Amino acid sequence: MIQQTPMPPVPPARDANTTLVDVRGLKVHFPIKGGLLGRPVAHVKAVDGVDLFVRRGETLGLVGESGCGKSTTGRAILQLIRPTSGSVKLGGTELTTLSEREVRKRRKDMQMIFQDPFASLDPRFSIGQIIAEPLQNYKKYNNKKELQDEISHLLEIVGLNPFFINRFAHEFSGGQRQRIGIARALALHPSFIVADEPVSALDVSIQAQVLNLLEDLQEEFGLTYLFVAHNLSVVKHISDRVAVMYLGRVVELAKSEALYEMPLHPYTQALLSAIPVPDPTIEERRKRIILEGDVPSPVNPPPGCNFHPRCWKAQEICREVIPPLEEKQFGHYAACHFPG
Amino acid sequence: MAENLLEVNNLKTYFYTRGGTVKAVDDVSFGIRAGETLGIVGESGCGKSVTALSIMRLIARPGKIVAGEINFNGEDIMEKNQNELTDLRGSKISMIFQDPMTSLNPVYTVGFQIAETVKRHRKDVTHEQAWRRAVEMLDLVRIPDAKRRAKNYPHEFSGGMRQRVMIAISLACNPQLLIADEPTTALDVTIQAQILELMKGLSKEFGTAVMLITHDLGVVAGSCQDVIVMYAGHVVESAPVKQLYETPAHPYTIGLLQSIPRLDDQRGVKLNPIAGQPPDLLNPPPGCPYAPRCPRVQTRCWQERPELVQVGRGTQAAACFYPS
Amino acid sequence: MDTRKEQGQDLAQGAMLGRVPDPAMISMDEVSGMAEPELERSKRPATPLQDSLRRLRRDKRAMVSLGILVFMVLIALIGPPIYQHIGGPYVNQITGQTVGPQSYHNYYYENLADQDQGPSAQYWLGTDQLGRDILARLMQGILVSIFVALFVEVFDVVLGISIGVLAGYYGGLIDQFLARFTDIMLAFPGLLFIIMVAGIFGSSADSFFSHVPVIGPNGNARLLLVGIVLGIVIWPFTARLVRGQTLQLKEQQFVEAARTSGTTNTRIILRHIVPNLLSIVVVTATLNLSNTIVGEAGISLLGLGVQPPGSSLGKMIADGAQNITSYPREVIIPCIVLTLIVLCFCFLGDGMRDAFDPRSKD
Repeated sequence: MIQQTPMPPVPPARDANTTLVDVRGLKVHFPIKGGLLGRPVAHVKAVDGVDLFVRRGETLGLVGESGCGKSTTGRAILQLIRPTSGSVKLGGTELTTLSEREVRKRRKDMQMIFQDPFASLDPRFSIGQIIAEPLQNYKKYNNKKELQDEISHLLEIVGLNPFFINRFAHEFSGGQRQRIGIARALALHPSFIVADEPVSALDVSIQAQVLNLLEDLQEEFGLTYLFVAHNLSVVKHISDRVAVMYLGRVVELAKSEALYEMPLHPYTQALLSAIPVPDPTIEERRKRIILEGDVPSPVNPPPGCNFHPRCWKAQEICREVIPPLEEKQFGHYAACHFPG
Repeated sequence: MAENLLEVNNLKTYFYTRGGTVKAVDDVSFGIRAGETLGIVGESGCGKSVTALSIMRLIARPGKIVAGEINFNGEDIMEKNQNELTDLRGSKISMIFQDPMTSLNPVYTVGFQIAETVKRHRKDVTHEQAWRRAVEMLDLVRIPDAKRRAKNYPHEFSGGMRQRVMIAISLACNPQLLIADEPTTALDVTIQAQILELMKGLSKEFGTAVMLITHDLGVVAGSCQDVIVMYAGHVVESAPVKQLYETPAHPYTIGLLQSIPRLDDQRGVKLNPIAGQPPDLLNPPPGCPYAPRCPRVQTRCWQERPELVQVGRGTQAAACFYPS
Repeated sequence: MDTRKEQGQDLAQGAMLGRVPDPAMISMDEVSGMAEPELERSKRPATPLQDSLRRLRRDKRAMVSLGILVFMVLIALIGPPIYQHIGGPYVNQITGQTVGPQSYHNYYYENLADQDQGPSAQYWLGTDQLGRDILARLMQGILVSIFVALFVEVFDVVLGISIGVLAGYYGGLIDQFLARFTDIMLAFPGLLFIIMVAGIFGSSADSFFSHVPVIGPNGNARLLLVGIVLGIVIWPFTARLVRGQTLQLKEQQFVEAARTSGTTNTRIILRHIVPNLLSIVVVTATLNLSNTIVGEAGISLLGLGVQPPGSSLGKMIADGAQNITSYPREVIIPCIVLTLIVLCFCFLGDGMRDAFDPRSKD
């Protein structure tokens, strides 16, 4: 018996003119092969029915702990992982039904900034070659100088000296490598960028530099970001709206301040109370909600609301009916039977 | 001031590599009193982990502790031989590391690994007694169904549980000092909250002093009584926790506090990043290590290295010529 | 700490644009009067390949081994022409003819009057039981061994990389084929297969191809056959190695980034995956070379490889073994040379592995 997540009522905010990315019912299930014939014996339900939308020019933060499926969601939206089911629309065009070749044509509109500044750059490529790659895939250049000029310009935009265009990735520091990754993502002037934990691997003092850079670039080029991260403080700072994920589903979606001031979903409440604040007076006075147990495995998510085994408000209905992501207050969505 | 359980004086640990000498820890001094929690805060490369390893005398070639005293319970650890050191480790001073995935031996049950520690340090204990202690410890770190789970292998536990097992192993012989090197960095934030609560509770219950090493200023604010801030192998500030956050004196501390986003920040507040790049440990500038990035740098800062001097009232100290 | 990181630190300090123009900041050169060091502008960028080669150069054992091997190849190539000009004319006691060094310093020239001689001015390493100059035969033998080994390796590397990469990247049928083929080769006694093929088809191959230039009638066709069969037997192992590496590389973030940038699969394979594989393949090929040489020696030892009057190290050992009690020199010399070659390849391969592996200790 499969519980279907009912389609949420279309809220007024999600109109075609302002919405750039529209995701409904997104599912990504990875089969686990087993047995003699290699048949799928179970599925890892990494993304299990995600709805969200991103307006032009805004930053939507996607936050959650490990195993919640946020990175997979980002990749599924970009069609780097083909979704098992669901719909992803970019600027009105449905992406999930496109062939691989057609998707590749659209790649210049949707790019990604990767998490690991060391693994996301080919160690055998100079940074000029790294940035040239997307350019050469989609544009023709009359001569080498034209290409080089464009690369130099991109390097300057992200704050790197174009003189070092022929250097290799390993000669730069973590923060600089991340800037190279950002330059690569910007090269094709995409409208939509998924930033997958772009600052998590950087030192604290460098994180602020890169975050400021991302914000400046957004303003200058009118970019739309999906900012995926596990650090809620960082996400809240850079995002206009935030979606909280738990075990493959979005449990709450709201404006950043609203999420912080009035979290409706119990998981969000627990998450917020767990985050340490650099202020000893506040820390002393805090009442922490300590969740029991560990995150269940995405192979066997609990029935009904997948948070109910750890929720202090859980009732009968929570075990039986999957709560839909509904608008509880203006612009503030939560998937809970007993929000607030 | 009460006598210190651990006192580190002028510790210097250098690494002699083919590229040059890396002064990972360059003249570091601090103390921890019995039962208190000291936070050591800094970014990667600042020398905090190397300090911890130096205290445990776990520095291997090409590293070497070139100078300094480490007084534990009045005795200098630098003077001890290998046998005395292995006696010390695990029973008087314990350490837990960042990555719970790789810190446990995958081929032995967790109960065995705890019992092994007990038997190593208490020769008079039988196997049954050691096993009982292991189950006791697992219970103490709140692993449900401890008796059965003692027979499980590390891969049968989640990350947070494995870190609890590490804590159980390290506390099994009731050490006086627990060194925790980034114990929650690899864990989710809700699990982190659980582990920090646990550590605080155990420290209070058993009177264990804790040296908590982390880069997270939020973690320090919630768990420590005193804090030292490290940069490029030096201690740049040392203060009781409230004073550090309310009246930070060293420009690096101020810079750090201003550059991290906080949950209670107003919307639209721009972060104030620290300019420049992480320090070059191979060719440090002759004066203050923070000079290349300091917004208040003066001529003197480039030429002389500042020592820790008292600022304000109380025990706060900063290594700066022009502290706040 | 990596020396690369040391360069990186210097670079890091200078690579940023827009250094803070804060009037309050006093820069170092005003203080010390020194110009700020021209950060690495003059230094040429070091590709990972150059880095690895530099590390290889530091490994003395590998360098010495490389030197010895190069020396041997040179000797095998230019030795014979030189050797054939050294020495005066000499009367062959059996035929009564006067012969010059072009003849008696040749590897196939038999002089039954001069059997089993010790080293002398005329025959620098002595002669074997058929009166042939050992040094000349040695040089020819080394040449044959190295050529066969190179031929086999080229075959191995080309097939191994192409099929291995395709199997690892695309999976599916190619992967299945590779897996089954490798299983067969593992189960199959490779040496026996070679012996069988060489034994059955050897002589017919010789006569069949004797008209083809370069190959000629000297048993080279048979050698070629042996080479091909050796190649068929060992390429699956290289392919498996390549497949494993490809599987790993495929999951790396920079490959994912290339896909996001719109790079086609073909270009990803050619520009991202294969170059990152080459280091492993080169190391394996170097180590395989020594195995191949020994394999060829074994085949020739059994009489299935090089035929008389041709020479190969294995053949020389086989011939010399017959006289091992009376003239041990004849077997010891080729044995020493063979051992030396193998050792050198092993040290070189080890050195290369340490130099190319980015995770090796520095």
